[in-house]
Amino acid sequence: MSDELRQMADVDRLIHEPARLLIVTLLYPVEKVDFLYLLHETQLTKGNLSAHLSKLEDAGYLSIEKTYRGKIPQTLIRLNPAGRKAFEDYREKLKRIVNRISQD
Amino acid sequence: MTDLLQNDLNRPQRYWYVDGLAEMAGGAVITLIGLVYAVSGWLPQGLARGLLIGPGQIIIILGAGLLARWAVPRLKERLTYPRTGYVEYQRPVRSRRLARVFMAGLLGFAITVLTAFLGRGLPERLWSFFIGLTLALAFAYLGARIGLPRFYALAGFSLLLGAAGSWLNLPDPWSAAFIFGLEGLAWLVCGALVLRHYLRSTRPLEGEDLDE
Repeated sequence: MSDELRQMADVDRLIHEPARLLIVTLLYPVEKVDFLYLLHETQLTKGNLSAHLSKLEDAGYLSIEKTYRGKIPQTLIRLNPAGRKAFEDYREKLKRIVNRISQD
Repeated sequence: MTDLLQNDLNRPQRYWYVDGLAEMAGGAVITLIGLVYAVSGWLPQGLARGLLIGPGQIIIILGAGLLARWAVPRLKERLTYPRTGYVEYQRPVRSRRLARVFMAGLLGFAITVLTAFLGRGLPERLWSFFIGLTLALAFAYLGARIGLPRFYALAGFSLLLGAAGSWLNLPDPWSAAFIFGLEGLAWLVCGALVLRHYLRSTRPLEGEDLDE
């Protein structure tokens, strides 16, 4: 296996999945968002989004808080330090891979 | 791939402008600046006029800016968050927030002084074009940074407005009143159109719609 392929195989598979990558990318620059925002931005179905959030939560990358805005239930999602680190590592690996391929 | 990530990383920042409220608030502040110049034009030369143009302008801009910062999130609570969701942005600590507000006011005053200073070397007729160019560059930078094409349109409008102001060659301070007044109105109209489109294309979701 070439070096580039080996490096690509080493990336965090949890974040590498396109929907989860988008979720984590949207969460990274902010403090927290609610479920409706992620639903609107990702265009995923509610079930699909919930499933991806559960996987990320199980991995300790994000935390989910169920609260209320007035009388309406609201689910707030925040990226944890572990999630931020995982995203930063992923992004760094990706840059190295792209730079390496660009040089070749 | 990293470019795509950067585009998605900018999406939460673009979201702040999705409803046009920030532009309307900015437009109101800019229009107020134009109004200050217009009022100063009616005042006779003297202390009152000097105070209004100098420290008065800073106080008014800072006050209007603080009011806008108070009003916009509350309007978003009622209009935006129930429709397309809530984002809590990372906030700097209080001391840094106050420093940023102070710096914004100082920057506004510095731009006024710089414009006056540099304008001495320019024919008075070109001052309006210089202001329009400065505003155009600022809005173009904002548009490039956030990735909102309509900011480029506003930058183009600012440039044309500056050119029109120079062509009209209005006496000071009416040229500044003209530039800032119309610039502010353009932002208000732009923001209002965005808000209208946003309200028509979205609807508030009820609790049961978000049964997760």
